[in-house]
Amino acid sequence: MNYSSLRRRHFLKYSAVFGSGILLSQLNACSSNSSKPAASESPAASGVASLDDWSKAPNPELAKEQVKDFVTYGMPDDWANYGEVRKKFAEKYGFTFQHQDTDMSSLEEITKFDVEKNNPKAMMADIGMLYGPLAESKGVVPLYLPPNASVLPAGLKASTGGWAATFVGVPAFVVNTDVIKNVPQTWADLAKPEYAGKVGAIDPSSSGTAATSFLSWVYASGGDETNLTPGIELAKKIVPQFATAEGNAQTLEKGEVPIQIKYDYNCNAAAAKVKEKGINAEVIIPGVSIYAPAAIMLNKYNVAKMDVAKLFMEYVLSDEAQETFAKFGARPIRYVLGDLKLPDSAKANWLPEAKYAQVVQVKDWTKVDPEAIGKAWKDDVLGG
Amino acid sequence: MDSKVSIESAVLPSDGFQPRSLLQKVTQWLADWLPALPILIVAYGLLVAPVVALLIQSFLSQEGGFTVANWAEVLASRSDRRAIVTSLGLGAVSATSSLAIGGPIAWFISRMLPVQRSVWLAILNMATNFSGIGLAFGFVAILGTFGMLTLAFKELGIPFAPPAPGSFWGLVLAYNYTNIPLFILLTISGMGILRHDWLEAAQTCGATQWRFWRSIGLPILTPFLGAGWLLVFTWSIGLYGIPFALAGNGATRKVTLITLQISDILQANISGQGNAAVLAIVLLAIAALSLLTYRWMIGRTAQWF
Repeated sequence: MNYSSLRRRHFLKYSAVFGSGILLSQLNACSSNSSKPAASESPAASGVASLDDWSKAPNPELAKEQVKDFVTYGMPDDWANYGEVRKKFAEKYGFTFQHQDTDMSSLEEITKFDVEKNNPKAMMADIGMLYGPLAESKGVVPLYLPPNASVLPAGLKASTGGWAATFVGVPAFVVNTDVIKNVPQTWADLAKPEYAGKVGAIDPSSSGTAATSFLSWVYASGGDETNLTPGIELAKKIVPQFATAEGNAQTLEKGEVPIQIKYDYNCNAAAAKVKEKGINAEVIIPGVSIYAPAAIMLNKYNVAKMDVAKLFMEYVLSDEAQETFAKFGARPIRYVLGDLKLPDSAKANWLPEAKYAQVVQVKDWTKVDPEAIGKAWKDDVLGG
Repeated sequence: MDSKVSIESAVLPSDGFQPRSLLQKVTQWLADWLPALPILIVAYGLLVAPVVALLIQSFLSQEGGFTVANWAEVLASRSDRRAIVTSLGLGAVSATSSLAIGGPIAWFISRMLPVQRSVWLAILNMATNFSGIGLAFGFVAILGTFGMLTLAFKELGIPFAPPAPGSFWGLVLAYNYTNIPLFILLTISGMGILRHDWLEAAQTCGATQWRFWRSIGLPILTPFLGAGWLLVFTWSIGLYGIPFALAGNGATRKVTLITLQISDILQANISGQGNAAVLAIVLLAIAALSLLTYRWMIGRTAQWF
């Protein structure tokens, strides 16, 4: 019997061949990956939507079928009144739909759009506007902007397409006043020893709300989007105050996490929800904060649902949808721009203007870099 | 080789030699390799291929070209460096405390009567296999902020606060629940090496217990204990389920570990998934290094068998 084929040297040789085989196949896959988008962007067979069709106007007939499974990320019903907006949208077009949402942070949404490109689930997502340019550079949003987005100036919508600002919020906090008797009034107050373990944790390296909250700490400490350092110092004092439990409606109600940082409109909703159960809560605009727009972004890869996605993006900028956001307490972007008059009834849920006296506008949103904020947070605040 | 060939040709007269048909060759080759096929598939498909893919991914830019940026980013990032150091520290602390507690227990169990010993081994086996999310839940239920023991101590007025489940020492505690039994099971076989005669012989020569352990017992057991330490260490730095369940999500987390950092990157990261591949390779390198040391140590024990 000749066993030479089983000798160690042969075995190693085969291993080497096999290993380099994998290597080559991987490299091939990589190079073909990079050419793939170009190939699929070419006109597809008739009847099947392709990426090219994003620039076309939406077809309501097709949308009727597509809307049946309304899948979104980070747009639950109680987020800035999106539940009512969707209901009115369906009424307007005579749609019936089943809504399904998975709540996640802005960066998770962009990552999810990208990794699910071959099997897209969501049609759209709500993001902090500072993540819009990132979504564009990652190529997850389509080349589409509805006609009514033309009222938005550059910076409040995508330069090529795919996202547009919807409404403006102010990072603030909601306090369970049954548990916290001495209510904190400013961001710096949160660093006081009495609030240790009481502040809901936030992650500015991933979430839009958290990133803009961090940016408002920067402004409150005298910095701006090009100089984050003063905010880092404040953040280092607030981080040790974070609760170990997650901040949500239940922990606010139980008093486990009695101080939670959210946009003012979501604070209002959270406070209203616990007040229904007989628990006292207060919304605090913490002195210096910033006006932070949220945006809607469409999923480029979900071409099968593109008509309803386009229609919805157009709808959220309509008078009706903008007023629905306002009713909830969010400042509609077109109202902020002076393009829309709101009846007083729509502003009934707003906090008194006086509370916003020190809230400032960010100087230049194009200079707000989510990557720099994430890095400052991970390396300088948590790691420093 | 040459001599072998000449012997074969001498045994088989050249004129009567029939060249083997292709079919025979194929059957022969299959007979040689087929039994090895399962292990080859496992080894290449589940070990070599993923490692090669990871290595390549760690050098890929987001556009698909070659780059060392992922490595530079991870090594320059304070949070990634902290994750690596914390993982190593957690592994070392957990392995060392397993050694300190598990070593003596292994010795006592190895000296027990067979019946007693099997009962203990059964219990230890069970504890070793109670891990992951289940263990995390048990930990929170017993020692969490509203855990049974925590509340009981509070009721009794004893000022005792267990380490928070998500803290470094909380994780050490949770890890050790499985690591100490694991350490005992790994080293108990080695304890049999130390014969009672040796102790008696040493005592006859007037040696104290302490002197016996220092000069004979520990030097002989060191490779076994060291190997156990290394295995527990490697096992600990690779854990994901327990820390994920105990340390919470990105915002509330107090401790960063390599495994948690990898999952964070896969969920959401601006500079792509390459950094996750880099961290995975770092984890792999640590494990490979520690297993090589383990092999070397175990090799030193061979002299006692």
